[in-house]
Amino acid sequence: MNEKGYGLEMKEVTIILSRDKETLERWMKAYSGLIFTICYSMTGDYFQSEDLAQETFVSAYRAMGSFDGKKEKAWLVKIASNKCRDYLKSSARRMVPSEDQVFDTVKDTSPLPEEEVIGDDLERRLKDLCGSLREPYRTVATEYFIHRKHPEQIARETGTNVKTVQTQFYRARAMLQRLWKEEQL
Amino acid sequence: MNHRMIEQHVTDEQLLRMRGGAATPEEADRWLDHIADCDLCAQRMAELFEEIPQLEVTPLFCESVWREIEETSEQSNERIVVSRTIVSRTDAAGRRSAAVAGERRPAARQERTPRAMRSYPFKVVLAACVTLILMNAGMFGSNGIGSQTQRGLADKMLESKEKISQELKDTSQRWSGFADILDLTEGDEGL
Repeated sequence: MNEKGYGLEMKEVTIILSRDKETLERWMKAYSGLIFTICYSMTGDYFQSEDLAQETFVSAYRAMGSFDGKKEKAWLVKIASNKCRDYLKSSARRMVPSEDQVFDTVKDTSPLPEEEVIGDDLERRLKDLCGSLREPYRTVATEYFIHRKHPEQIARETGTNVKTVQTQFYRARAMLQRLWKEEQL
Repeated sequence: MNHRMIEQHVTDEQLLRMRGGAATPEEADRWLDHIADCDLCAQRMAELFEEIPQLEVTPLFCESVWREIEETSEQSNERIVVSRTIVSRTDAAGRRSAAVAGERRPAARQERTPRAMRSYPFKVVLAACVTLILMNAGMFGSNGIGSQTQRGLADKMLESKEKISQELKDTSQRWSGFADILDLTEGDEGL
């Protein structure tokens, strides 16, 4: 019997874990775009929504034992909604809007065309932000976020150490996240 | 089904407003609150969002998810190891059963042990102070609680002693009667 008293053998635990990993891989392949898009629509923050989407899958993996196996897409959307709601609440607590911001919000309630929120506008904005970084972060960020290249591929192409590229990428991402927030204010 | 499920479902129009980023923070909060609990609305939301071009996740997305899962599971393992160490230290002092307690007791409970140990001297000092106060107040004197208790106990012991001595007396009388009879019979045989 294991420490939780479920009476599972080590072999059974290993099988369950590997099955859960396979399931999560499949979900990420099938629904990561959908969850990312939902989070982006809710928050309007590219980098934050990526974090929320990742948190959604982490929570889904941890809660897989309580999942009844039906309507996995709806289940993931429910988790993502919960994450977005928590984020919006916490960000609302952090931000005390000025008078001008309150009036801007009131003016902004008309529906926006979706292509303005998602799509070309986002790519243009990402390009501008990446372009505003100094080297070597600009190259790494552009290759990663615009050309969708893996850090290992960037390292091969630029003849740099993979670890160096990874460090540059994480710094570039933090800079972009800060710039994005500054633009939103 | 909780109170949030009883509320009205989120309409397509409302979902489209959320999709377009046009919902106010209050609306988004209310609708997301419902969707987080409602299978039907979550399913409908997924369908509506699938109609528009979806964002592509970055190349390290999946790796980051796996790293997060591994890091958090490592942290929880470390927490278990730390709490087990605490428990086995207290066991060495003869207070706890280590292995079983370490596995079954929640981590938060185990982490509280050092704090409980820190408060122990304070409790001892407090108990000593209370005892001194009671002694000064004469509670343990001739008219105090202790003397009364002792007096009560002595009375009971005296009663039981008297009973026992009476019973012994009766028994010895009975035995002496038997002995006389036996002596007579032995005397007859000898004759």
